[in-house]
Amino acid sequence: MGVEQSQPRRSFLKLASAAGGAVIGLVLAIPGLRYIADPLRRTGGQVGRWVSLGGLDGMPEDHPVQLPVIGDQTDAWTRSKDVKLGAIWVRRQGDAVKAWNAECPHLGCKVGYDRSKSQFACPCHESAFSPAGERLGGPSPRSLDPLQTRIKDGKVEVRFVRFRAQTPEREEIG
Amino acid sequence: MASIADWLDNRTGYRKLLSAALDEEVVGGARWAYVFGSGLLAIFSFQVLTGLLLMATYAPTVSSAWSSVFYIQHKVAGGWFVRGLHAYGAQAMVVVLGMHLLQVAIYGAYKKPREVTWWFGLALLGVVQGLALTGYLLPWDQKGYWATKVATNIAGTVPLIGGAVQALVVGGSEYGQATLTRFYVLHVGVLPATLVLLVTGHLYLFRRNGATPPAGADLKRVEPFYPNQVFKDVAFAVLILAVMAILTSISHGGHLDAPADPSADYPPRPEWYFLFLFELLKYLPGSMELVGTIILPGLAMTFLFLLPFLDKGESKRVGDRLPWIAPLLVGGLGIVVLTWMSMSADANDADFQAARAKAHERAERAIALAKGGIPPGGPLEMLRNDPMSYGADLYEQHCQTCHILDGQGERSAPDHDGFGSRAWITGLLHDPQAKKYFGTTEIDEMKPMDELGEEKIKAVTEFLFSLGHEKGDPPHDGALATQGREVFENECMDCHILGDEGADMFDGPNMTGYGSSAWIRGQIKDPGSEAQYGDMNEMPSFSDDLTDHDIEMITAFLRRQRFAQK
Repeated sequence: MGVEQSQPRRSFLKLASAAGGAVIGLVLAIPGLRYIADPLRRTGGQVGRWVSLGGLDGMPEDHPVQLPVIGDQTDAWTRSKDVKLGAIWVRRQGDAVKAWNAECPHLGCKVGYDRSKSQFACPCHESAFSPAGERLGGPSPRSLDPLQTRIKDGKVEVRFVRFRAQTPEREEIG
Repeated sequence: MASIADWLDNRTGYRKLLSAALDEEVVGGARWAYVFGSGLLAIFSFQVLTGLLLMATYAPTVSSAWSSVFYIQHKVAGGWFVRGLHAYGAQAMVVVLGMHLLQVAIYGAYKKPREVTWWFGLALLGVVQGLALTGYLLPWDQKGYWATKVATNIAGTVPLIGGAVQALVVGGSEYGQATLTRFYVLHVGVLPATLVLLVTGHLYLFRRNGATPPAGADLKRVEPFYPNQVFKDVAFAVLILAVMAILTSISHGGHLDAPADPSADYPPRPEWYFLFLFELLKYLPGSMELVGTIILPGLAMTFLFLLPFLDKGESKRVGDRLPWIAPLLVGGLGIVVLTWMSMSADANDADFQAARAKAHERAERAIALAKGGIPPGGPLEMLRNDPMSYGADLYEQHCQTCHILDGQGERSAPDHDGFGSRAWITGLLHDPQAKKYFGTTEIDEMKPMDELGEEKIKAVTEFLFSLGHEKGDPPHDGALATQGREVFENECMDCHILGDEGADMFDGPNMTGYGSSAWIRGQIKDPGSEAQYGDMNEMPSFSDDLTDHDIEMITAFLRRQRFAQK
């Protein structure tokens, strides 16, 4: 049974169906991909900023201290004031202050300080760093990431930035 | 290539599956009348895709839902388009569902042996309505919040179980986080999963029993589902998506109202496809409420459910089945008429239009503020610190019982249109007893200052205007103000106080800092103090009724009149 159909007609219907399907696919896929790829066009993000750490007197001599970095933040639609942005290690020697981002350059775990060994130690993959931030061992590709510091009006300020993990060279990601 | 396909077929048997799916014979031939079911499937797939995209940004919390939808609409690349497609997809679903139901009814496709297919379809109708209703709330804006509040209260009117049903859906007795979370899980989990199950059953039964050709069709004519029917189905899906995309582009995506605010005035309306029920409730007295909310819809659904048993004759000709098709057409016509009545009533209701215009204004304001970032407390916190919306509300509630602004309010004190501006001050100097100034108060001591001449009035105006100057204000003419100060000291300080001086003869209003935030704040808190109107004061103090924050909002709102361009 069935109705005789010319081959060209069948071919046309198949082609037209496929074309229609392709149109639908494109109308949905193009905006969909643009939408989901939105983070890629948001470069910049939180740029490096100077954050006050308080007076020099509050810092112990030659002894690494961990401090939270507090500042304003825009996270998607939320704009917050005075929230925790991250953590840094600070070490004072006389009037000189050195600071490092507390994120391990390996994969971003927060580095701690092992007092018994007098070295920085990452809790994840056992990367170790000297009190001067130099890489001692473990998988980290580089030493701890130093941050710029300055003294302004008697207060210590640090320029807080993040760096891409895993690269031998430091690359700011804001 | 062929060998890879053979290998795959050998391992999966996909050719048989494809053949079963595509080579089905359509008895009576492919028809445009059959496109509605597959059209609904197409829309459902659009909804799943756009819905997943929206879920990748949306945050279902009371403090973030509106903000995240705002973010989708105004910040994410193409977000407005994705959201618009989803919103119009929901409406397309309702429209095509109506067409599908009518087509099936007119063709008599619910008749033996397709009764169960029909029931699956009716269940799907319910699920789609549930999806529409739950999705409407998710932006947590005024529109969704109030419309859904009404809808859940209607659920509460069901005898015996209504209260429990309502509490379960709302997640308690109060509208809030539990409601939003529940609606979210219904909308993105429970209802879509139910829909997929029901569609699976519906499709299985449809394939088992085949399509229903219209009465008198040539049953010897048989065409393959692919490509003959597929072509028509795809063409219809393209048409639907085109309409959705065009509507989205024209309206720039779905509307987003101001954030849900339980304290704000709002004229709620359901989505247009529920307007007929909304309209119906207007004509039923309270005691008959159940007729509109439960009994009529229940009867309609029962009728549809029983239709295969009521209309059991062999014939599928519409003419032979008029008694059973007529109620459907009458019902459909009723829906159209009620919807039209509702829309036309709103279009001709000036109060409703004004309320809607105000709601629209509030939405625009909230969106403008949100573009600068939303505080962690959410959009309501943001708006509570906005003099132009919250301050305006407070002003309306507390001040317009005596003052007129923008044509609104009662007049028993000076009008506030352009209050503190140069034009306002000049007008006052010319005619202090005019109704818009002190004509409605008992303050009648001040006489028109016309005798000073235009030049001096201009100078005094600039001087008085300069008294309220604050950091960040547009500049004023300092030289002219200095001239004005001289005139003021000579001509006005017999009555008025300025700084430590004046008021030798008469205790007139204190002009120190006149028009500044401090002066306005003082006037609201303690208008009878010596820094304000002193013994002449007739205005009540609001320091007990309003918090400092609220007074600050009214002050900032009112102070903007100083710069009003009127």
